[in-house]
Amino acid sequence: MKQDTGVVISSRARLARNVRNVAFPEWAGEEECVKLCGELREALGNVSLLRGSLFLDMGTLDPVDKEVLKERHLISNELAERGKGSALAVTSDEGIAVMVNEEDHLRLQAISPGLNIADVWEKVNIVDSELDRKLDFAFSDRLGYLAACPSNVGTGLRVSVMMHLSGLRLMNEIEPVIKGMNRIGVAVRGLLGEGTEAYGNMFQVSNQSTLGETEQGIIDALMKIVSEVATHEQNARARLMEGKKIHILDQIGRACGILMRAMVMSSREAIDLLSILRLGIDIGIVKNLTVSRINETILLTQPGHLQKFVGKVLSPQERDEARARIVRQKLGDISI
Amino acid sequence: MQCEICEINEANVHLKQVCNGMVREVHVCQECAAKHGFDAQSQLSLTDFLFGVAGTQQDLLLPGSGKSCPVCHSRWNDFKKTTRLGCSTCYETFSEDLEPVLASMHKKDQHIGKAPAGRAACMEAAALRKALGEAVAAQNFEEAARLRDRIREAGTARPAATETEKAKC
Repeated sequence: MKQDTGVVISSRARLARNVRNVAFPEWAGEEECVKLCGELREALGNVSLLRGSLFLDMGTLDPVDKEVLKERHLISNELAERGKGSALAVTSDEGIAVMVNEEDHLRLQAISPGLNIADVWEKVNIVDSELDRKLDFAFSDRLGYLAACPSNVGTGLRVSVMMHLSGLRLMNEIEPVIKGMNRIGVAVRGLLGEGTEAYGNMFQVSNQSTLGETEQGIIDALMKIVSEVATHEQNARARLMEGKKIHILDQIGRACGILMRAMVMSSREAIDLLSILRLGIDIGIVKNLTVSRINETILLTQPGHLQKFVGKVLSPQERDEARARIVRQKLGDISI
Repeated sequence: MQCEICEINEANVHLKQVCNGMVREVHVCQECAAKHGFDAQSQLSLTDFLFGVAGTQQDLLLPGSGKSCPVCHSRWNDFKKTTRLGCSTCYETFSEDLEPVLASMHKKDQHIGKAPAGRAACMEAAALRKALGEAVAAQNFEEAARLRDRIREAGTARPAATETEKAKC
């Protein structure tokens, strides 16, 4: 499958790893977490791919900074809620992010735009192998790498791909596709990982089971599914353009109108409408706008980024006003 | 909507929970819900019901019942409440209790992927020794000789194991 089809937004691989005979973070006390965090920081500092990384202690970050990291998919809600003894190590290009003392002692993640599962797996695999020389990972011959939640034992590998499935949603075909994926052991989640709400028709597709398959087996199986779903999406878009062109033009026109004229806008509304414009770019209807500007606008209008951009803490009402203003500025010169 | 368990009665108990980033949903009738140990008025988490680890509710409500992990001192009841274990040793301590949980989460029960460097060599050597024993028992001496050579090769090709690696084996 080509990477520039507009259907696959990003790829991610993450490995769950724990140190043998040390309590998992939720069970360990703060003192134990702080001690282990220091040891893990030292080990991470020696990993070649993490050279020059930022190391951010959750105990010293303010809530807005944590929100920004969440919106950039670098940390989870769970890590954001933690304090002293939990941390994030992240490379300057944000391609590799390691959560320390989240649900597990280590969550090694690599993220890349487009369909690059092999690339992200290679990166986390290298980080893991280098850490393996320094740390004694909890491992059982039968269950593989051991994790705080039994759902992550085995490889500890979760590979996920963010897909933009507007065509299937507009053709009312998304539900059977999701159910079909669930039936064959593929998890489908929303944009922010937790829960199923797929803001902006963006879905995270990932392997459910981590035990009994090799890493390559997990990757190959997911690649196959992603490729099939992407084909369904492309077909749905083609059928939309054939049979429902006026409907799709109307949707894009309405999205454009609201985005360029609204004075108050929630983040959910912004993502949903920008997603329709993204589809408009992919099918060649929206001009003078790029997918990267859409992505930038989506990120910038999230609560954390918005407050960083404005430079002060805003109430929800103030955020909705600032969001509408930023969207108007960002999309000023688009045409359809 | 039909009950997902008996597929006869109308589903009037609708459960939804986000667990480990995934949403689990169950739609069942009151009868099946009660039969499988779910009581909406109880303090038990929905996870117990979804993962089928509820056991008896009375057992769960007894604080401190069951064995505890020698390393982290957590109990099986702690796992039932949070679906998270206390440490890696809990997998040995609660191995029997974990079997149905693992079976509900994974299709297979044997890891076949990557292993820590020291462990991978041990696992390979153990697998070769096992195959050698089987070949000898079956009087397949040609295969046994081939396996013996592979064990020797693996022994000389591999750099001397570190103390940590020896300990892991």
